[in-house]
Amino acid sequence: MAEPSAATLLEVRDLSMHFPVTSAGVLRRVVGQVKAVDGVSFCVREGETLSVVGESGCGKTTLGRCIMRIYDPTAGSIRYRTRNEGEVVDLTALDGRALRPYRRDIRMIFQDPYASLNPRMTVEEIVGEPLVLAGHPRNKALHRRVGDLLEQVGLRREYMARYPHAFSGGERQRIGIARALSLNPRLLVADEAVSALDVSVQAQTINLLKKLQVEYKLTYVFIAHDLSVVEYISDRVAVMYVGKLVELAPTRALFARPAHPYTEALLSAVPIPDPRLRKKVERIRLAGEIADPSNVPSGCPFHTRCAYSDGNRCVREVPALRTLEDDRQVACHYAETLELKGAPQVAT
Amino acid sequence: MDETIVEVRDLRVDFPVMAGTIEALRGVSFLLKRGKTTCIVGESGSGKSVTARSMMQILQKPGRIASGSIRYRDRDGKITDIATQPAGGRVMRAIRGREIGMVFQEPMTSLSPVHRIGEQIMEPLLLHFRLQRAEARERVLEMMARVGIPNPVQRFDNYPFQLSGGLRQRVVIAMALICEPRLLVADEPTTALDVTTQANILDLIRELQEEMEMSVMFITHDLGVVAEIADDVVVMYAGSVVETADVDTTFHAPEHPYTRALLQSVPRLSADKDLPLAAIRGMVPHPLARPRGCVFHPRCDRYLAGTCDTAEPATIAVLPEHHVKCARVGQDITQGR
Repeated sequence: MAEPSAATLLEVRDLSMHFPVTSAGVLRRVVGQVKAVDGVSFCVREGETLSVVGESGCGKTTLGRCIMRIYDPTAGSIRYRTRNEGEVVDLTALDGRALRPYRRDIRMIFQDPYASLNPRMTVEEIVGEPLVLAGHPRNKALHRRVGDLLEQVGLRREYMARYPHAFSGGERQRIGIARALSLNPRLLVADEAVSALDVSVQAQTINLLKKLQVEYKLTYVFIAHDLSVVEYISDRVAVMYVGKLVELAPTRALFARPAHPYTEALLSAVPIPDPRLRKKVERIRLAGEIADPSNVPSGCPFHTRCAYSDGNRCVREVPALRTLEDDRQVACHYAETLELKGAPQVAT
Repeated sequence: MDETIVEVRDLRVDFPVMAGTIEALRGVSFLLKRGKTTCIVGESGSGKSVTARSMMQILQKPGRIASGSIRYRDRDGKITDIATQPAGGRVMRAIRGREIGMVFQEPMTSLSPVHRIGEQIMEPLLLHFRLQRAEARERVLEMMARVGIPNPVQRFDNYPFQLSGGLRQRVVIAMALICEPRLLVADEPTTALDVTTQANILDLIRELQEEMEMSVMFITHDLGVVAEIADDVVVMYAGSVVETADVDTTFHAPEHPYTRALLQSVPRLSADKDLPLAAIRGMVPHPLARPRGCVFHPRCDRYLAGTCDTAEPATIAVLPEHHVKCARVGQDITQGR
């Protein structure tokens, strides 16, 4: 568990990723912008698990890809504290060769364990590939290292001669995790890493990720939509809505007492695995769909669906992300005055 | 006593493939009651989707019903065994869409990309009833409004790609309900949707069910969803029904070790975060290499050598409406959650 004072590993500042929308036909003029991520700022503390949640289209995957520098952000900075004491680099300012050492430190675990492994490579080649690319000779030591990595993630080392098709979804996800671990990373970005797995296998994978975090002092950015999983594994949770960060708070505080109406609605929609609570809990239902990121509403992007909108300031003025006293950031004009309900089964 | 509308008994479905025969369903039995929601829960490979498809006689090739019955009782009390009907026959064509409506997981695959949504919703209506187009159109617009599609008149001429995922699923639901079926079979209808949209769709299904006194067979892997909407629950594992009970019993007094383990492996809000999740060890067996005896025994914490790995356990009624397929039920199993 990271202390509030824990050192910042990664600082994202005013990050934007706008994709151009082009007209049909030969001219392909730029006719608009999809603001997938729009001015997002937050810190990732060393050793913590920070989850990013939101509906599809909120920009959480794009945010993860910007951190990985799969995308080139259109604005903002991603400041990363390197292993050299005190040195901070801006990942958005680096390219190619200069970025390479940091690519070893920040690795990704993907959602789909079927699509993310090359079917023509053996497990040994898949897990060993990052090492070979980093200059590790193809020798016995590599073979041993791959075997150790497989055992770390709960697979037998004899499996390394096999191809991905011989494994189930949960085992493939473990192979993906072993590959991500091969270069001793510091930060893992997991994009919906357990969403595609069956409940029983999902629990195994979550336990594994928690175990590895302690053993390797890993920091996780966990992108997910399943709030029960998020509540279980995160230290802090960031909520996104149409490209913007609307709330970021320590997990317990966020679930017990959300400060943004969107967080409240999201928590209220989580199905509770207890039929006895079904009738007792009053639900908030969001009308309509998530706003179109190429045509973001004026003012607060959530005002079109918000039950507390004042129809005036909320429509005109974009709320800034403010820091409240309990290590919480929120972007709502009325965060202090609203009395919002937490997740139904979390006692306040 | 509730009126039964479908009785599935000892249903077996095989998929003959190159490597052997996959027994997708290995003697599945359960009841669907009039006006109630029955959830079929299970992990991938449990046979829950195959069960749903069998009800409509739309099994994918090379699947076939090997034995067993699906006895459907229609409005007049006449009983038809769906399992023995030819898939393309007159009887099935009259049942599909009219008596039983179906909603699939991914709305895009059940909609035609090149037809307007209004026309698609109208199609079953024109098939099953002698209606003028104008009259049918009125009914479609009414149904679109009922399932919560805003501006039905304008939306009527939209194509599926112009709609969001949530609206598409509403279109599919409108299509399934337009003939006012007596049973709705919904196969993971909310799995591809966001939680907020899922909550709205679940509300919608519940409301329409009450209004139309319809039975719902709801297939899902999400125990949270089950707790939200089920009256009765059928738990499946590797092609077999392991436990059937009402929803309260399933969650608060489950008997089968698999049901218990499944409930414990779900992360819950407010649980102790320092304890690891109670994962079930191992994984679902490959359908061509299922273990002997009870299919769950290699993963079971109640496993007893010589009992569980030799003979398939019988299904026992521990209460009149609580059935468990486990040889160790009644043998001092410690109290469940």
